[in-house]
Amino acid sequence: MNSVQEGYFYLKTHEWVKPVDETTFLVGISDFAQHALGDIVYVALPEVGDAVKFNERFCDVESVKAVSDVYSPISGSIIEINSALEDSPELLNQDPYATWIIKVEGSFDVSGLLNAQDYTKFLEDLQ
Amino acid sequence: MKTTALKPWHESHHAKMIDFYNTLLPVHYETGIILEHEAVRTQAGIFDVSHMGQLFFKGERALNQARQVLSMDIDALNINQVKYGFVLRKDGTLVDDVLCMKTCPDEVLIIVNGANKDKVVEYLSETFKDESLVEDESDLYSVIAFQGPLTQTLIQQLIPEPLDYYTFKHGTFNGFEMFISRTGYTGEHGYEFIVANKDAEKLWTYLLSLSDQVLPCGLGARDSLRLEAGMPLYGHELNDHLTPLDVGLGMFMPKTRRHLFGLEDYVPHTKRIGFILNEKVIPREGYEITQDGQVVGVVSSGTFSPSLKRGIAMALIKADCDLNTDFNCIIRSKPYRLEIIKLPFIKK
Repeated sequence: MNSVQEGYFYLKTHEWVKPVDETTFLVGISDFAQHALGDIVYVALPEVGDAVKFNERFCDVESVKAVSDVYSPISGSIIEINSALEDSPELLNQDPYATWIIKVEGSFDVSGLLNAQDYTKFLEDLQ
Repeated sequence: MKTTALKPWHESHHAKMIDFYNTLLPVHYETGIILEHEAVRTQAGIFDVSHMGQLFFKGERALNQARQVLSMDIDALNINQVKYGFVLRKDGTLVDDVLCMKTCPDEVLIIVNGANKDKVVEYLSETFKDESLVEDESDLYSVIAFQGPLTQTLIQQLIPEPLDYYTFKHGTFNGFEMFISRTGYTGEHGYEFIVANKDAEKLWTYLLSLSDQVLPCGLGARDSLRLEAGMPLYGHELNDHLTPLDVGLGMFMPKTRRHLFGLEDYVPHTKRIGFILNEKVIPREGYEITQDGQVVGVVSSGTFSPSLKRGIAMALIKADCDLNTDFNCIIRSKPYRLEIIKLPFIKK
């Protein structure tokens, strides 16, 4: 339950960002987030070219239980969306760390983000 | 917060527990709401619904009180018959919606919503000036719902002769002393068991042992199942300010008894509709319904329907709305055209 992946950086709102190279980043939601949401049925994806800002909402995810905003752990511009989520939103439940939502071109700033160790601690304190 | 006799079982089976109107109950297990929902539609599921309350009216004097507050004609009930109806105030407003079971010639048992149990008891005390004769036995019993098409054959291991819809038996079945009623809240063939707390876990594990096709299910699936079945839930479609006629439940309000609650010439303020959204959004409780740009109602319950793979909802709208004119549901400031569906969403 609630696994945390090394090499990813997290927001306290349970999104992650993973650097691919110096300017490219993948963004998704954590295992804790998908557990809390339960069965995810729709992802309202943004569009390629949209700007995202650190700590601001960029899409929403509907589970059977509720709708939730998803916040961006990075500022930049969207260069790709994971269109597989249009038809298979349950991928976010099945493999949250392999299922990115958007690919962003931007510059990385770890301040304001938690590394795996800090995020693990943060989750422990939530319990 | 209250807990149920099955709490240790739920927790040892990794249920996600929530505070449901002050009772700690599973919202889903590791299976998740959708698979639990589908299990009930195609196989069988069991639910811990021990938050439901059991109120007895025993003896003629108590029955006379029941006659003054219940919508149903209890004198017309056969022994072992169950009837759906309401506890009503003198002005016809809803205290609760209930199942009424005729247990003996001079006794009825009403099954009330857990969230409303104290309110019903209090209402009876007020109405009968502290001489209320209702007997609250809720703390003695657990309630397990056993729902889904497979229950029809599996039940034969507990009770060989078939039970008609909305009837029950009381007795000892396979060693379990309990009420078995052919009722439910899912729209599927199913049963509900009212059993002493001490036997609850044994009965629960017994039901699971009947077939590996029987899944434990939480309140999440119960809610999506009842919504697909078009069944109202108190606190959502029903509340203290509405009468049964405001929510399209006149069929459960006998004409001969309406005058007792000021409802004989009642003109409803609202009506209840069901609708579906054909876009990838889910209508949720509280979202506004508009017609010609005017707000005409509000969503009372909404969810994703695992059977229809769409957002579905019930809403209360102004009684004079024209159903042939387009309605919209406002979701995050955007209007979505809704398709009205004659309830229930799922017809069995």
